[in-house]
Order: sequence, then C-alpha cells, then structure tokens
Amino acid sequence: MADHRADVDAALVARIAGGDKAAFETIYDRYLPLVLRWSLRETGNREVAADLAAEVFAAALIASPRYRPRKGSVGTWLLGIARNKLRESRRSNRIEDSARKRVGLDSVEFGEADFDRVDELASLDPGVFGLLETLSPALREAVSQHVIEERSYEEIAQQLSCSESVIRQRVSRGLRALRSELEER
Amino acid sequence: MSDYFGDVRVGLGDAVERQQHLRWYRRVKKPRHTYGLAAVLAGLVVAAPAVGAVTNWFGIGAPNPIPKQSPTQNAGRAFPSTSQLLPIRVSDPQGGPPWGMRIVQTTRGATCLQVGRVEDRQVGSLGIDGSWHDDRLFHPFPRAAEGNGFDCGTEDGAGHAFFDSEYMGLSASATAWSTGNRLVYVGVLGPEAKSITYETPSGSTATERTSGTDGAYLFVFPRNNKTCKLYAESPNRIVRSPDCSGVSGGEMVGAPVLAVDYRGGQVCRPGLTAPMRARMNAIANTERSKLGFGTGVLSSAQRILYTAELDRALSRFAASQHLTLASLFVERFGRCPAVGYVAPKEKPVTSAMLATPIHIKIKPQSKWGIPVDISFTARAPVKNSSSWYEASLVGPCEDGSGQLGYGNIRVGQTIRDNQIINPNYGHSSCKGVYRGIISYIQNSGPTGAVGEGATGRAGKDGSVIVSRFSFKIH
Repeated sequence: MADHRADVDAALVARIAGGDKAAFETIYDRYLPLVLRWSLRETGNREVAADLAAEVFAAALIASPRYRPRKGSVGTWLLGIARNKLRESRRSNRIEDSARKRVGLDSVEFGEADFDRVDELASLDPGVFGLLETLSPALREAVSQHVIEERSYEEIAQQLSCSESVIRQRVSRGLRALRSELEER
Repeated sequence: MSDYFGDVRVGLGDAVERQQHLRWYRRVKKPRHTYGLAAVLAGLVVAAPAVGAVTNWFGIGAPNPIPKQSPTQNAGRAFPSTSQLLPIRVSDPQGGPPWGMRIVQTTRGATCLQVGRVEDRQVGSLGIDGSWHDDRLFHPFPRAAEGNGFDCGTEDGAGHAFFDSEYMGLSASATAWSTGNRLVYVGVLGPEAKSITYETPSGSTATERTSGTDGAYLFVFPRNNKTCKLYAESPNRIVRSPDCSGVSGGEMVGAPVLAVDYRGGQVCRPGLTAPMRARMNAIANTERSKLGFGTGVLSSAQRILYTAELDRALSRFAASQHLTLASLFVERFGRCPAVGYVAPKEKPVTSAMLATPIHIKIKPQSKWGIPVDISFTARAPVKNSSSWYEASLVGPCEDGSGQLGYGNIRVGQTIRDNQIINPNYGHSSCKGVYRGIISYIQNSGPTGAVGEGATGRAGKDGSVIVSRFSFKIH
C-alpha cells in the first residue's frame, strides 16, 4: 500500500515538472500538513512556519524535474528541501523567498485566522512520512542528513564533530527503527 | 476572509501552469504536430556553433568528482559547511547559465574560490566545448571540493583572504585548466573593499559593488583580439601574456581593475604611474609602427610577432633602469594593499626556540651530480598554510631558496631536504663552499594566492632563522 502511494506521488511530481497544475494541488494538499508540522517544530512560530512552508513548495516546483523516486519518497524529499531552506534562512536571518520570487508568487498576507489554520493543519495525522519525527534527535539528524540530504558519512561526521563510524551506526539504527515502526502500523 | 494556504495553493498552481518553475531553456511550448518539432530540433542542432553557444540547455548531469584532498597538505580539505554561494552573477557572452562563485574555507586555514556557471544555486561546469563529452548538461561542483582548480589564499586572523587571479583562455564550460575563449578575472580584496571600477571591453569604465564579506569580484569577458589587446598584451598590465592565455596571480589587482573603493573613503588605483604609463604606451606604439601594424586590432600571428618585439624593447628599457623585464613591472606597478587585514594571533617564535642542529650528508657523486642531504628536527609545528620551513642555499653555482614541504609538520618531526650539486655545471666550476640558512616562516601579512603545491609568500617580518649551515664540495 505504502509503495503504491509512493509510486502515485512520484508520478504526480513528474507531472508537476511537466506543468500539470492539478498534480501540484494534489501534492500540496497531501503534504502541506507534514511540511507545516516540521516547520512549526523547527521554528516554534506559526507565521514563520507558514512562510517557510510556502517557500518549500515553491522550491519543490523548481526542483520537480530533478526528483528521483529511488532516492526517497516525496515526503522525505520535501523535508530535505525544508531543511535546506531553513538553514539558508538562519544564515540570512530571514525566511528565504528566492524560490517564490522565481516562480512569481506575490507576497501573501498572513491573517489572524491563519494562526488557527496552522494549528489545524499541523495536527493532522502525520502518516508514514512523519515517521522521521519519531526518532531521537541524534538518529533523526543522522538519517535526515544522509538519506534526505544525501550527504556523505564523512561530511556529516565533520559537521557533528564525531567519527564516521558513529554516524554510520546512527543511520543504521535510525533506519532499523523506521522499518519496525512501519511494520507495526 | 484571508486564507494564506489557499492563496499560496492558487499562486503556485498558476506558476505550474505557466511553467514558470522551469528554466527558460525548458519552457518549450508543445508543437502542433510532429513535423514541426522535428524542424525545430534540426534548426537548433544546425545553429549550435562548435564553440558552444549555450542555448537550449537540457538539465542536470553527473556532479564533478571530489578531488583528492589531504586535510594536512597544500591548501587542505574543504569544510563543506563553510561553503557559501556569493550573490554575484555575471552573464556569459554567449548566454546560458550565468557565472558565479562560491567560497569555502579549508582545514589548513585557506579560503578557496569555486568559479563556474550557476544553476539552481549550485556552481558547476557545462558539457560544452569538449567538456563532459559535450553532453550539454550542467555538472555541479561538489561543495566539499576545495577550489575546482581555482586559487586559494591564506586567511588572516579574522578569516579573510586577500588575493586576485587571472585566467586567460578559460573554457565557457568553466572546466578549470581547459582552454577556451573566456577571460576570467576573480579575486577577494578583503572586508573593507566596497566597490571596483574597471575597464570594460569597449574601453569605457564601469563600477560594480563587491560581493559578500570578503570583497569578492568576478569578471568574465570574451577572449578575442580586442580583449586580449586590452587586458593581456598592454604594456600597462602587470600580468602580460603574449598569447593571451594561462593562469596568474594578479597581485592585487590586475586587469581589468582601475580602482578599488574601500569603506571609510580610501581609494586605491593599481597600475603604473601616469609618466610610466605614457612611456610604456610610447614604446608600444613605436614597436607597432616599426612592424607596420598601425593601431588596429592585430591578428593572432601579428600579435605574437608584435609582443615578441615589444618584450625586446621593454627589456632594453628595463635594463636602462637597471631592472629586469619582470622586475620592471613588479617595481613600478602600484598594487592595492590588503585593507582590513588582521594579523593572525600566532604564538611568536624566536630563533632560540627553534634552534636545532642541521645534519649534512654529502653522498658519492652520481651521474646527476653530488647529492647533499640536509636534515633537522622541527622545534615549532606547521599547523596551517600560514607557516612553513624554508631553506636557502648560496654557493659558487647556486643561489636560491625553497619551501620544505607543503603540509603540516609536528614538533620533533625530522625534516629532510635533498640538493644535488653539479660540480661542473656548464663551463663553470661549482666546487667550493656552500652556505645555507633554514628559516621558519610565520606570516604576519597577506600572502596572496596559494595554489597546488605552493603555499604563498611570506608576509612582512615573517622569517625567523632556525639555523645556518655550510658544506664544501671538492
């Protein structure tokens, strides 16, 4: 079932790359809760989380021709984009908007009612793509960086100031935990 | 009632419909019928010149491989987390993805430049002009690569590097060391450098702001007779290249920079003084008229002949000033200082701290000469590209110095150098006494560019004598 869903979503991303508006709307509706929940957890601010989520989907449009299903599901791909966008944003001290500018998305006003909407969306069932969040921070970091961001063990070890073997173990343990979590569901 | 997420959904959905998320080269309207498509494709293939016009780009290809880098040798290994794409973008004369640059810091205290074409916030090379089998794809440079063949510079105490480089005859593909038809001038002039005034290929002047916190700039020009004459051949340039090719340190700062404006109002105008420039121009004009070339743009063959004659004339002029041709430009060319340079906080070393016996072993003569092994024990470490050991030797047929290794050295490590003395070099006898000095170089000034196997030049007052030695060749 999960595989079938992954195939369908991958096909939708391919259609986005080809200019299919309906495919985008389906992916947006399906994954907005996941991206928003992740953004909210990372930023702790509903308005900033909404801002980041919009940028993530704009960047996903641009990156859609390069999406390769064998490298990860659409959910992990979107969270990888979110992580990169957040890192860039922290560096420049403001939420990135380069992708939205590029696709010509005008600034959208964030109103009072939208605060509640963020809570509502973020509390939706995370589904299988929210599994990553069930891992401990150390395992989540290692799995995210290696599997989602495709960084080498060496690079991650250098950044986290630990040995490559530690990172390998964390990735392996994290993936094992994700597998057993999936089997239980 | 406002609905943020609904508005984003509509806005992005419309962008998908407009194909605005796709690059300009991918926004291809579907043809009405198959014959139309075939005709369009055929037209593009025929129209694409062999030198690589970069219209009709297709997509992302394999990344460039990560070069082998030792964390303790040469410029060191890059810290990918420090990699920073600068906002600077320069159009290529033939279009396509713009040029840009990324800077990255290394394990040996160097800042390296990655220069190339920019696509989707990545720097890379293009599959054109013979690179990547002309696959017409974009190939990103890995963030972990220290410099993709471009220069690195030793950082000061605040983590800034100060150097400029000239790449003449680089390929439009941005594959380093490849030959092609671009002149690329790049540099980091420090945190205080605010803007640069430069000479455009048409001969006018223009001013651009520097980019990032290192005062970076990047210029990309077509390499043709006109630009070669302006930037590479002119006797007013510190780096002169008769064939308008090769890689060189611009020595802060070379062509095409006319002035650097610093924060605080300081302005630097690199180059020759007005009288010297007039003299150089007079010499150049005389040589051209002697050859009957007039003032127009020269052909390649004419340029080679002209620059050879010009070099001879300039050498005569240099000799009249008691200088060599090379030192003429070094001596008379005003350079820009490293404004904002912060001396590294290194523990100062003294000769007493470094003193160590030098062991000399003269071996039996081989067919190449007499091998002389010089060794000593390091008393101070070499931990980054800001310091190194150096040996100098002066003898009947010898007068030179060289760096001893290009990597880190720990205290107590034995450093070895091997010299081969030819006792009968040429027609002279090289027998006699040789005197040498081992020094420890600790920079207290900017070093300029450091490339593969070269760790730069010492800053001011950077040399401390470790020991002196001598030996005799019989």
